[in-house]
Amino acid sequence: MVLVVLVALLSAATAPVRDGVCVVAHLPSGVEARSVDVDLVRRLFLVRQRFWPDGSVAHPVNLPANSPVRDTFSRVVLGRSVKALAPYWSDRYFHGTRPPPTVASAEAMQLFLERTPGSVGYVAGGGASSLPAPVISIFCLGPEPSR
Amino acid sequence: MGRIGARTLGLLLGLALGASPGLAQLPAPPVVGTKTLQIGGYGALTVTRPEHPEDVEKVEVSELVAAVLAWGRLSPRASYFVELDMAKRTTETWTGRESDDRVAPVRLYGEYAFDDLARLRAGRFLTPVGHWNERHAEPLTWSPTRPLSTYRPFAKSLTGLLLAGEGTVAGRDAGYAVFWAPSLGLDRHFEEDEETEFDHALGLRVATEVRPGWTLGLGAARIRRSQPPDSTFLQPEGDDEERENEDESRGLLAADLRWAGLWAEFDVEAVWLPASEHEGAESGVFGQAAVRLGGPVWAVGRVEHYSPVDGGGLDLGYAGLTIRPSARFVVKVGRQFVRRSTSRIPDGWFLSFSSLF
Repeated sequence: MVLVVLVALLSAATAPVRDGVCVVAHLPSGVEARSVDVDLVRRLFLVRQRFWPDGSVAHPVNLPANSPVRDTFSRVVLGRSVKALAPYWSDRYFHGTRPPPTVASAEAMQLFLERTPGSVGYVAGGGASSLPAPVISIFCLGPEPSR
Repeated sequence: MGRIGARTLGLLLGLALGASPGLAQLPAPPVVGTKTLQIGGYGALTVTRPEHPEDVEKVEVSELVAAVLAWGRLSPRASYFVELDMAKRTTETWTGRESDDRVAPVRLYGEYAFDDLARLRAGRFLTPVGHWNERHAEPLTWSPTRPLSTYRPFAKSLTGLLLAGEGTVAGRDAGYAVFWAPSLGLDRHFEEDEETEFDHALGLRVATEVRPGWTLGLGAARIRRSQPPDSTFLQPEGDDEERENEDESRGLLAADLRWAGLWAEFDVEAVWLPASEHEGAESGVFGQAAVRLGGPVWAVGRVEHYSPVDGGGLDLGYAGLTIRPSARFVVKVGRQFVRRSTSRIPDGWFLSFSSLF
């Protein structure tokens, strides 16, 4: 019984999102898409890692804090909701680090990614099919995770 | 139920409580920004009501703190950070501050990041011993009082070089910091009123996430203190004795374990200076738990044992409530219990308001 309750709690906390989210990036020339996994993206967005594996500077970019896509990304990739990460960012603020910069909309994010080599962001699952080159979809997570 | 392993149950419980990977606190976090200059800070007001028999019991403002933070990026790999603490103290504060009505440069350094595994910091930085000292700001801590183990045995800041980095080990976040503080004489200038000063230090701290939400830190250093900590705070008024102003080179070992979830946090931190030729051993250990009662209200409890160089131990406890209506504003109220209460370390009530800005 205890296990059932715990599994139910766990399931509720990590319930699949309906549309899912796709991580998209304008990768540096020295980085292959297949070398970018969830853990690397998590570390880039938590600013625990600042450089791509080839040594170039990474530029993660966020949607606004009230964006459902951002909250989905935060829960699925970073492991916590945007709100639950607030204490983490307070700690980081004390050391001179803020969350990755925010752009106003999905369109603005695509524009930022298109113009900024080394940038990485995310779109709703359905938006990964219409990305401007050289922005590519790295992997998608959602009801049916797939690269 | 019997077939369910305790390990599996523990992992599920941890996940249900909100533990998640990626939030491990690693040594010497980097400065990361996009602007040349950013300004921030924090402030705190602490009110106390000591209950030591030698004191007149009255409510008083014991400390008013304002700290200014300034940081910026000079290039994609070069940055700087400044923390200036301005404290007005009317009594012993139990927050580790001895400076009274003066500006103390707690951090003042430049940093160059070769990559994520190697960042070189030069200047004045927080001593990477344990995890409390590196997140010492009142809005980030759980109690108005600071454990003695987190500042009495070692200098809170050092002037020298620090090499730090972070990455993953076996899929877990991990980091290190190697620090070297030569005898420049600057620390005496910076810390002339501080509890403990280092004349020389060479040390290492490593920390790694050992399981989801759990961070283990270990540290070792060779130090020489130019100002050993004053242990007369354990003595009744009038029994103060002058100490030698020079210490000898000696070892320092530290360990800390931390679990952070959405509904609870646990911290254990220990520091030990083995006995040397002329000095006795010194040690301190504390355990602290914070449990969310609901909404922004947390219950906080801590026990600590501290043994100074001159022998004789001190047992302290703290119990209180911490209210975090937002991530940047904190109200803490609680009572400190001391087994051998003195006028400098009394039983008593503490109330503090603090905010990041």
